[in-house]
Amino acid sequence: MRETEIERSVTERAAHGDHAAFEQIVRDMQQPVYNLALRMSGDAEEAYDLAQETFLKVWNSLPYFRYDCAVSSWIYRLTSNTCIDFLRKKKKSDTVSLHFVTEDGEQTLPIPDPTPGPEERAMDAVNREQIARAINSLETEYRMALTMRVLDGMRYQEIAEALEISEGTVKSRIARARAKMRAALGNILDGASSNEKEAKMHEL
Amino acid sequence: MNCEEAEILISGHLDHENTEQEEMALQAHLRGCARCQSVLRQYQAMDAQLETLSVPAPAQLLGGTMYKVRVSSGQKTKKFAFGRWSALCAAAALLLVIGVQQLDGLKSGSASVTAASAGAAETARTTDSGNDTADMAAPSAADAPAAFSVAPAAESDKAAGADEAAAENAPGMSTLCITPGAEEMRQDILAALEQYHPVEEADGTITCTLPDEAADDFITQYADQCSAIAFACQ
Repeated sequence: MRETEIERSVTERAAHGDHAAFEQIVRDMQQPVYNLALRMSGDAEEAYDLAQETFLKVWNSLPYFRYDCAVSSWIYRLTSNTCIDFLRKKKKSDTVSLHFVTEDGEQTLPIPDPTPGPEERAMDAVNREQIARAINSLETEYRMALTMRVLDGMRYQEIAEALEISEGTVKSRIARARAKMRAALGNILDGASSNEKEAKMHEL
Repeated sequence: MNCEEAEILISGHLDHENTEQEEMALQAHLRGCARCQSVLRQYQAMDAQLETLSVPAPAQLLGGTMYKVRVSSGQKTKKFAFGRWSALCAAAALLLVIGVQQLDGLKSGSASVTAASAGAAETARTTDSGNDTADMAAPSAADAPAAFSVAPAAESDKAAGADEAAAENAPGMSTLCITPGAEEMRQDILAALEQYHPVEEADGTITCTLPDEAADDFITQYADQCSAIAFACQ
């Protein structure tokens, strides 16, 4: 879940080149930034590079930050833009040769599988791997919104600011993401949810 | 309300983002819809499993990021902040060296030469980039190597060579002096600089003159593989 918002004075000091203040920002934001990068890239090493690239952009752009939104939302925006750029480049390199010709005629390469990263592979819980696979298979905009909400605990308003979309769009994207996840996971969820049936209904 | 609309509100309910009216409408729908009750339970189970995907950020992310920030800041400082005062700094360093020489004689004077000539080299680099303040004091920077005749021959030659390299640079060019972090990284570094004709010095450092932009890129990309990178050799 989200930590408290970064104080403006810290942001201003960092914008003026104060390394200690910037280190505090990195410390506060590294977890959500890394989470988003990991979910978007599906690979721990790439996520590390993306997170670092994002923070360098933050450092270089802070003097130009206009304080028209929460600095955390702005950092999320830079993270999502960095991830989207990365995915575009990756998509280009991954999809160039999906079709190729052999002696037997035209063949189609399998679409790259959004395999979970090393940490996820290390886990022996099957459900966890399946859930990772399901979220990795979502389209970028759904995956990003759902990650921000469920893994990083952001409010819809914050997600809207970060992605520069309306709160209504955030709400529908997250609902759509959940519906797609549910469809992808099918029976697994029935088993997982059956034990909690009674307890959860009391919440309503 | 149909089930499709209810699913959006179920999602909003889990996120505590529904209005009061939406919550009331959802409760009314759920009372009579077993399918949507099941969807709610499935979404709850799914969220619980999604939360387990949160992986702690690598321990080295903070330190690695701050290292790159410091490298990046160092470049900025050299180019913009230090440049304004570099001529004065070099002049002050010269006076200091001369004072030390007079007080302590030859031995202590040679120990200060490296720092002073590094300042002079930096000044020469800044002067090349067209800084007004540096231009005014340029003669002191250009004359700096000659004042260091008291330094041991090898040290003096190297410092003078570095100053000449920096002084000879065209505007927008940098001379880097690179110490690879490990021998296996040497070839990567040489390959990266190949088009700028890097020179391997006898002491193992690599000297290379290249455009400022390329120097910046090199530092950003290869800082991790080097134990030291300096503008001109000291």
